Amino acid sequence: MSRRLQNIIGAFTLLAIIVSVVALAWWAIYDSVFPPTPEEREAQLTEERKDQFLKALEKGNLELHPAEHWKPLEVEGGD
Amino acid sequence: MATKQVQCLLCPRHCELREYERGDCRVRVNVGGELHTLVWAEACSANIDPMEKKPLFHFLPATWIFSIATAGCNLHCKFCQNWQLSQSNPEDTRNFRLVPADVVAEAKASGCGSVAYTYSEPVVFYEYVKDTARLARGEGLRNVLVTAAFIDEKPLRELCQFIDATNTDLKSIRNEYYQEICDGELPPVQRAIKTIQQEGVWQELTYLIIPTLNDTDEEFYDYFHWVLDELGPDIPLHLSRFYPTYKLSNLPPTPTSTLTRARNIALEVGHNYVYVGNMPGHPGESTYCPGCGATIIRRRGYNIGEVKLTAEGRCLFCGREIPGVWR
Repeated sequence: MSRRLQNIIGAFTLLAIIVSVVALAWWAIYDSVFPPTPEEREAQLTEERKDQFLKALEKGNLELHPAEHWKPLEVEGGD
Repeated sequence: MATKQVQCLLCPRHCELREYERGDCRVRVNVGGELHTLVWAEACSANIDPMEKKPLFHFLPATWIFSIATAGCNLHCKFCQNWQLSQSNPEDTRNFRLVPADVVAEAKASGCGSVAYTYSEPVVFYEYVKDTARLARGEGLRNVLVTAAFIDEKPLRELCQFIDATNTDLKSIRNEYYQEICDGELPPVQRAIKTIQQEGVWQELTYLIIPTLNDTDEEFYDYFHWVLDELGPDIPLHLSRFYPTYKLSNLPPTPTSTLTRARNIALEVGHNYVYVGNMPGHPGESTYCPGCGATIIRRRGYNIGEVKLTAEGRCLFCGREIPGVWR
């Protein structure tokens, strides 16, 4: 392999490492630089709960049945 | 953004639940802004028991009762004997589908005259109890609730329309005990016990006596006076022996002397029917006529010896009426 080709490969490798480090750092600090809105956070938590709930339903082979004695709550916003 | 929250109104906790969140009981869940139960017809235990095991001593003695449970409970007692069921999520217990019609058919096929909702806490499988009890009554079966009575008044009154008898836990007469040992509150339980009485449901009380936690003379007097004042002298009281388990495995079993002392205090306060439980061979297992003192139902453990009662529930010796449901 020529020295020129080795330099090109080395440069690309270095570039890939730099890009990965920057991306990782950006991913790590993104939430603190751009925090999610309460609505986005609530939606995210709901998705997480939904995921867990669906897994539980499947694990227990459970079925939903309407419950008695409850009322809807009108709540604006997230928490 | 409006969220789809709901509030459960079944028990005094009144859990407020966001979407896909479960109540404290582990079995009621908000899906799409509507509350659902996960345990309707999801039995995790079904057995044929003697009525005396519930315990009910003045309700169809020496008969068999078909007994079912699901996972979940709305209290978290540190001494729970059935914590593997009551403190588990329904997806973590071994369940079998048993719809109300199956329960009734199984009960009848096995020669049981009644169905018990028991072992864990029937309040949290409320809809299953109600649907099964309605069907069972239509088929000539009786319904028994074995409960800690941590339930709101409205659902309780509705349920009482289908219930023939309850064994209700009154675990202590101290609110601090309910808060610290059971993660609950005493006043709603007291209200529920009075409601059951008002609804004309046959009721017996169980007091699990635990060394160092609820076993002083002062507490015994307060407990028995409250029951006497609110419910009268004829409600059967079961003073039950504690065995170390779950989070209280460090405590010793209740000494016989403590149970005997508690029974003597209850009799001194004026109660007519005071029983000692979980202690086979204790004289406090049998029923004595308050009129003439004769032994009218002799028991040892779950076994019944002689029964000296008329078919109408009167003492064979003096004719005194003994309160209960005898046939």
